[in-house]
Amino acid sequence: MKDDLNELEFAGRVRNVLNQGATALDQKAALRLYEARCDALRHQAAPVATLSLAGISRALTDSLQNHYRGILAFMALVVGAAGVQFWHNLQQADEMAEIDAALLSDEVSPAAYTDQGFVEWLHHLSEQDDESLSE
Amino acid sequence: MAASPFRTGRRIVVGIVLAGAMASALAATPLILVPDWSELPTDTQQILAPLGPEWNQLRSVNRRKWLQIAERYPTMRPAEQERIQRRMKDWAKLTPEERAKARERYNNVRKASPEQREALKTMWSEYQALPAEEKERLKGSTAKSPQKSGVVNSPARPAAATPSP
Repeated sequence: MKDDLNELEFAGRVRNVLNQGATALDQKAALRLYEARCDALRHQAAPVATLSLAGISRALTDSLQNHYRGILAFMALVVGAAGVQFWHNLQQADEMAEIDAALLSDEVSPAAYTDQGFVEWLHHLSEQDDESLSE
Repeated sequence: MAASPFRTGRRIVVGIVLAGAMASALAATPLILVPDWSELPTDTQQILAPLGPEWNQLRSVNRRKWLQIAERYPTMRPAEQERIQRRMKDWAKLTPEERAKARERYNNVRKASPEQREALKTMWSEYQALPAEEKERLKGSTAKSPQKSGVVNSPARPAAATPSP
């Protein structure tokens, strides 16, 4: 406990001495220090720029490693949904084949089922018959 | 830092939507079941000859359907074979909605008795003999009519199964 206090006290004294030294610096020395700092910062910028592409690759790898379970689940979902969709398409095709084969080979033309005028005519006849019955 | 429940939920929804879209794209891609026209066996090409020029533009579901029909073709009677070949080209030209509507109407008629179906056949012949202007007038009046039932009961003729609108 005592050692800790001594250490803190020592650090405080060092800080005071450094602060006094910094305020006592002449203008020329302060300018040289400022230029050296700027120079150091300029040199630091270059490696960051050259590493940017590698950084993207690294970030992508990290992201894949962190989310591999989610990605696997997503891929399973895609494969499962594609399977269901494919099965649905097969079922739909088989059902349509059954109906279309019967419809197209029937004695009554398929036009009877697409001609809206024919449907209207049949109901027109039906209404006429209903009226004659009620009279 | 743990993700909030809202963000997790949003990710799951986005994942499901994307998976669905990708699955549809995968399922819609041509598979081994739907070969191009040049890859079809010669006897299948002969049966489906009227569809030849349009075959490669047909959706995979429709190609599979026609292949299924071609498989049934040898078991049909000659008159049915002739009808199916004569009608397939016009049938393929209809929109999917028109075909769906026609199938729905045909399914209603299939449930009717043989007598009703026979009456429908007779009435179709009579309708075709109507003047063109009369048929046009009937088509034009369709939009104003209410929904109607699937069977016409007529004392003057046998009850006819009708394709419900």
